[in-house]
Amino acid sequence: MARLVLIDDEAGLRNVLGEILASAGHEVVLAADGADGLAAVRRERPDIVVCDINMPGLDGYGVLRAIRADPETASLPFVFLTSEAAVRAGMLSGADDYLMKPVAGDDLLAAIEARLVRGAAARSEAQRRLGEMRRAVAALLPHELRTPLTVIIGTAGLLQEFHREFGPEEIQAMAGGMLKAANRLHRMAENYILYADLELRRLSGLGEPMGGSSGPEEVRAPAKEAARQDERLDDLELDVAEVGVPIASAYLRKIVLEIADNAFKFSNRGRPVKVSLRTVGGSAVLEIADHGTGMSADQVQRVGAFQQFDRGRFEQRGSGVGLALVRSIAEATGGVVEIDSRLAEGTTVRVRWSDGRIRGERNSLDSAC
Amino acid sequence: MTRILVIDDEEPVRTALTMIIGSAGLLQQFHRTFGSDEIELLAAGILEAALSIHRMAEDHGLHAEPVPPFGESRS
Repeated sequence: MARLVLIDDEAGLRNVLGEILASAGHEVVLAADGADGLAAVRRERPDIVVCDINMPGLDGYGVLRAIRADPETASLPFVFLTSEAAVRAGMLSGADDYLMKPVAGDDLLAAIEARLVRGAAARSEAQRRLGEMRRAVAALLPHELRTPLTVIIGTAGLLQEFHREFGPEEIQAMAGGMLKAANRLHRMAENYILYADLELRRLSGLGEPMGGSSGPEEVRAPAKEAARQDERLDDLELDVAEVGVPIASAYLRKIVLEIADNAFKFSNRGRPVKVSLRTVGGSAVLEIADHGTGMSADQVQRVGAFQQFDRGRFEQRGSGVGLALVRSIAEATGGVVEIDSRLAEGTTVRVRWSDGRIRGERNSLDSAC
Repeated sequence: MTRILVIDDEEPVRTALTMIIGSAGLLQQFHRTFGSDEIELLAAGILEAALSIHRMAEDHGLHAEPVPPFGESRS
């Protein structure tokens, strides 16, 4: 038995369908228009909504938009009752299913049953994957936090107990060490939170909040920040064209920061790290290349495979959640991540977005990519 | 479908980190102007905040928690 909200402005049809559903054992709440229906959805927390499209006032599309816009109801199964002419518009609006009027009782019950079964399966799968992620986060986080925390706890303890014995330069150096470790912790915590949020959005199908428009500054600024953190501004080579990237500013900055940070971390001082942004064909291509330790084909394969937290893989090169985050953001914004790497030669990470909205100059990277 | 993920103890972590970053920054920049007691106090604050993060991590305080599906109670 399921709890349903049935919204239709035709009283006769509403009552008949309500009877059919109730006789099949469902608990039915009837609503005579869109506004009443929406209120019933928010009040009753049903398992599924069946809704007419053409109604005075708030129509079926409006009801669906309001339901999808509210995180509390966004994933609620929604079935339209529609005429043939409205089918295409209904499909585009994001409903889960469509029933053509006139509706036979058996068809209505079958559609609802199918939707409920699919919903239960999706719920079960989402719970399983979230459970996996939760366990992995719980297992990995203490490990990831340990190193910077050890620095802070050890240094602060020394300073608290023996501060009278340290000179000003020593105190300054100790404070600098704690600050660096704390900033690392901060970034780690932010990354975990963002990664969890992205996984949630992917699993729940909630909207697409990450689109937007970014440009060269969202590449230059974090690249410089990463270089500055490693005190290697002289090694940074920027080749950033005036290209628009279809991704929110904060997310492009995060992608560049994480990749550039790895590039500096795994290459020696004096070796260049090149950061470029170009259009290649119809794509915006961000490329960050270092001449560092590189990775074997096997290591690249493993980096490319991660989708979930995986302690073994992350420990492989100490890459933390950063690269997982890059991949999650790229995929959530229609991008693709490619990694070219050779041991002792270096690594090139490329993120490519192609969705027809890319604007900007074209150049010779066509042949390079 | 599970719809939302709660990062349970995000706020305490942020608070503790702010304490550490702020105090360490002060120490780094103004250590010459601080007296011995002030340095000891700042170091004690940093230590306390770092230990609180350590405890949270050990308790798995910062974690992803699935909220139950629509229509189901959290219990």
